[in-house]
Amino acid sequence: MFGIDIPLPDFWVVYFFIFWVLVGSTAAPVVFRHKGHHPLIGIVVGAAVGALSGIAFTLLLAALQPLADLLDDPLASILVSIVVSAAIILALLAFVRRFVPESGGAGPRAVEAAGGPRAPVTYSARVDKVDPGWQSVQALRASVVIMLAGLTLIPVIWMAMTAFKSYPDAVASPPKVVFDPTLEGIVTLMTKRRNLDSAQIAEYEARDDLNWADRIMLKSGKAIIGQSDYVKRLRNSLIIAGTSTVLSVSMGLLAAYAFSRFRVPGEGDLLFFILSTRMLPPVVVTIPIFLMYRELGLYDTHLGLIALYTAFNLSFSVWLLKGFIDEIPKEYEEAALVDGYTRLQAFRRIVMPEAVTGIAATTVFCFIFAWNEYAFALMLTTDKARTAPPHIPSMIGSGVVEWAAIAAGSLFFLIPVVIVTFALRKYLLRGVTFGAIRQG
Amino acid sequence: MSQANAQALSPQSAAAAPPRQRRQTSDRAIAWLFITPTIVLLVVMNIFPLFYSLYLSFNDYSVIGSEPPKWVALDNYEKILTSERQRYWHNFTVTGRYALLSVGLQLILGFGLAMLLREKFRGSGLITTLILIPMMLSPVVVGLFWKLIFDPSKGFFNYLIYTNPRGGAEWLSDPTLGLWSIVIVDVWMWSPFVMLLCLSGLSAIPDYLYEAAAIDRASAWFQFRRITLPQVMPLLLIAVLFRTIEAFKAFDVVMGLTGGGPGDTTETVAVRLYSEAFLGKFRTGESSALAYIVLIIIIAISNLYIRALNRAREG
Amino acid sequence: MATIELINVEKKFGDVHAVKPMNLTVRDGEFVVLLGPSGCGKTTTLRMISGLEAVTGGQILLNGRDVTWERPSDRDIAFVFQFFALYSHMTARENIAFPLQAQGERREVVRQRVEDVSRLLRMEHVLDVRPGALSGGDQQRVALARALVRHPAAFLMDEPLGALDADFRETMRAEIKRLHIDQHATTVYVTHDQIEAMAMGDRIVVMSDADVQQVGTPAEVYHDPANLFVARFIGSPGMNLVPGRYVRGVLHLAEGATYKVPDAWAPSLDAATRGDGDLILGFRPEAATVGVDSAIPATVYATDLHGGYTMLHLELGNNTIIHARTTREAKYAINTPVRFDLDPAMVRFFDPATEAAIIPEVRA
Repeated sequence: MFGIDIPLPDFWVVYFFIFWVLVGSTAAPVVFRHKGHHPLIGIVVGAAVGALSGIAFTLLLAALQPLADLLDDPLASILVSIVVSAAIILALLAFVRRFVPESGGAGPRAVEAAGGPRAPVTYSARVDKVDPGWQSVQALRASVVIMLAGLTLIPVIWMAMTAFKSYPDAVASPPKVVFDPTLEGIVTLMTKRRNLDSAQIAEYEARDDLNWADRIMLKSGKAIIGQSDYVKRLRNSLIIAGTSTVLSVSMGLLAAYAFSRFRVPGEGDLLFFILSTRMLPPVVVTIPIFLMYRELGLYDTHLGLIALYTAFNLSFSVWLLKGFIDEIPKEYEEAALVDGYTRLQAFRRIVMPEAVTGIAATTVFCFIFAWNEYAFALMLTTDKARTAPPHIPSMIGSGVVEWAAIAAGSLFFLIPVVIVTFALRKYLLRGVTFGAIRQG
Repeated sequence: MSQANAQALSPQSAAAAPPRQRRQTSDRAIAWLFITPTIVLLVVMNIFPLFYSLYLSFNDYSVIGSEPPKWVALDNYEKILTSERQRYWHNFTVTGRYALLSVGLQLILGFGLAMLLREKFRGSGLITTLILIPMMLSPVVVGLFWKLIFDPSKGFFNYLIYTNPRGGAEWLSDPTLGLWSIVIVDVWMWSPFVMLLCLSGLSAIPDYLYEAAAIDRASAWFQFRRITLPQVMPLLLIAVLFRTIEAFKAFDVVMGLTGGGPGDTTETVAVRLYSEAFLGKFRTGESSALAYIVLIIIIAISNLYIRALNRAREG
Repeated sequence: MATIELINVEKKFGDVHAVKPMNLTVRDGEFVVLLGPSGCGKTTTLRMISGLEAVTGGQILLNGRDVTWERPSDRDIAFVFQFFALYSHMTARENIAFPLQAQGERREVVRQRVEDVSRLLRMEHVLDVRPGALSGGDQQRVALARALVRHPAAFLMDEPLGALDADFRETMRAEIKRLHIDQHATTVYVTHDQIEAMAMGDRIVVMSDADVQQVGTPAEVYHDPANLFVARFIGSPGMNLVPGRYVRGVLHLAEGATYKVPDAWAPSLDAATRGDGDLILGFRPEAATVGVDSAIPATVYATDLHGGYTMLHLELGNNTIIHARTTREAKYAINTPVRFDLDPAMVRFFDPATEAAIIPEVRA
């Protein structure tokens, strides 16, 4: 499309170049501001210092290459280069801090006492946290976090990129970072195709009833003959995860309310029992469930999976919702009861609206668990009710591995999860600890 | 019953005893009405299967065989634990090694990240959420795209480890590296979880403790060792227990990544259980016994975990 | 032992002053109380002295040494926090030992000093208990012991009794005072409780609206408040303040009542009002004596028996209520008209425009 075609460059060179520039350009301005210069000068100097360290890293890596070959351990050369270039940038920054002159003409210090910052401190801070040294360390810390976060996300980004690669690009060796984006993978994922010979291709090209998807496939000599199984699996995933979520949240809400508001004999034991069901490894439960389902005709049915997922999520939703309901003051309902509401009315009119965020968070968590679930679906379905998670790996099985299509399949599957992660960020901790621990 | 009576006799209800009594009984009815569906479903889907499974574990039975279950008492357990121990012992060591390595690394990385993210800076909220993404992803899909990443020629992992790839390591088909690749993926996925727990632990440490320590002339290292570490310790414990339980359940990532291979070098207990029960000979009886052994281990750890959770909730 | 000097020390949060430029010298061994309502900047001042808050301007000297930008740990001061700030995961003993261990003291030394200080505070029996299981008073003792154990140059205490029950407070107040006398350590003590301030302080710094209102001994701030704020804030109830119009030696109060000012005051008041102007008369409840042929008429609004004495609430007309102290036996029915006199040595006058006290030229 654009004719770009670059294989994976030396990753660490780029990475550490960016890293050191980031470190330099965030840490140096602190010093320059402290000495009464414009922070912009600091950014420029810091970036230069960072670039210098980046170049040092590159040179060092090249210089150590023979050694790495000798030892047959290239990892060591990277580590040595990282340590040395880190030492270089720290030394340079220390040098800058030590030898950059105090700005003369910028007026007197705002604070008479020696050693104070240039700008008056008009916020709450401890004395040692106003110190430029401490602040540069903070800048360094932030840079490290940003770069680590980048490193963490590489696999996800790589998968997103692969989804838009053509088949040759996806399996290129060495891997390509810059490539012609194409929708081939996505079309492959969604469709069934057959190969065409050259005569058929010519015939197809002459037709004018082709849509964009047809044309993309035609480029690699294939014709679309129908919808793929993936679409069906995704639909199954949606139906099963959706229904089971609604069921487990509504049942969980009732039980959580009862546990939270009434004296239930043996409450502690019941709650423990409910949580412990969640701890069971799915594989353990699956054998008898498999037999049971086979007897009842629930094997490979939507109903079977829905029932199972509902039970699986129920313990979670009870615990999480109980935590949320416990936070609603009892007095609200008691006031309503005194005003003549019945328990059920109080529950519907007072508790439900108050707990709505909790209910929403629980719903989304349950949905994600059901949406991501693999083991039960693998063992209890074959085709009719099979969901996407067990389907995606099975795409590897047959012949040529369409990595782009697999990546596209995974991507579609992950997008909702990423969105949800952002939406739920305040409740993630609560969710993963069954409501026991709240985020500060 | 005694509890209901005790409440009915509470002081302020003396005058309004009759209606109070009625409210009380209807409350009890509602309580049971609300709880019963949950309990019934959990019993049907979890407890009944567990007992069924227990029964099967005392039988010689295969779901694809035409023979009905044959009572063999403790033979299956005897096989797994003594006579044919060699066959299964391997899976437990794999699981143990995997648990030890991945939980250990997750603790170090997660705690390290939390310490880095502890002091807020502009955009730190966004960064935290970005780091948390892996934890929310579907394990099997994660296993799958890491499979591509680990591919010796098409994946980029070797390019990250080796500046000048000459052939490169066969991550997924090398017996030692196979387990390591699962550990790497597990660490990638779950370090954020440990980080999240540690962050909440760190943010719960009141500032004044550090102010007091600064006044008391404690060095940064002394503060870390004597205040930070002991204060987050309960949450670290929760993280360790939770991750250990999960390690014994490890199935999705392994299936997506190696399927237990190469050979059986990455075959965790859960994967072995699956292949015994649903592949090849469908040894239902024997695999039920194995399932029970795993279950007992997990229940033991879960007990500790839930106790730790309860303490965290109270304290 | 140490002196503490604040020179033009100020703190701003954004554009708002938390502490306006203030000057203060705490002498060696002195017990100075920073007193004021919440939000007046007293805690911020204390935190600036300790280094837990960086100053916006000014200088802080400790023993003549400029410590303005030194870390809290380099200042050789101890700080007792309002909610004790005890390390919840350590026993009382470990809490007390912490400052010594942080400096790498030898084990025997730590042991010895912890024992000494716990004997001093009579708390040996709680040493192996964690703070969570201790009573408020014992937690306070641990916090004090942690501060004392290091023999710091100065003590800073931020409402150390604020979190205690009322009856504990009395005991701890006495203990702290006693401790100060024994140790003779320079102490800056923050409180919003004026009774505490009066009882403990060698000198009191009254603060309000981020500014110092008055610095003086307890007797000075009680008897000679520098302005209306101090007059109202110190004492419970505060000083009675009655507005009136001063015309040549006589103060005309509401509804035709008059008060002949003491002769000693007349020249100063003449000077202040140029013979004719508005003034505020101030007097403590104990300065008023109810009598049959007294000068100022009033009506009994309410009476409270305070154990040792009776507090009369008298209405002067114009809805001004004043408080007067009488004997325990005195009984007055509500709405009875009464008359009262003022002890001429105990009246004070304030300028309603500047709110400042009028200073007599020659004290009678």
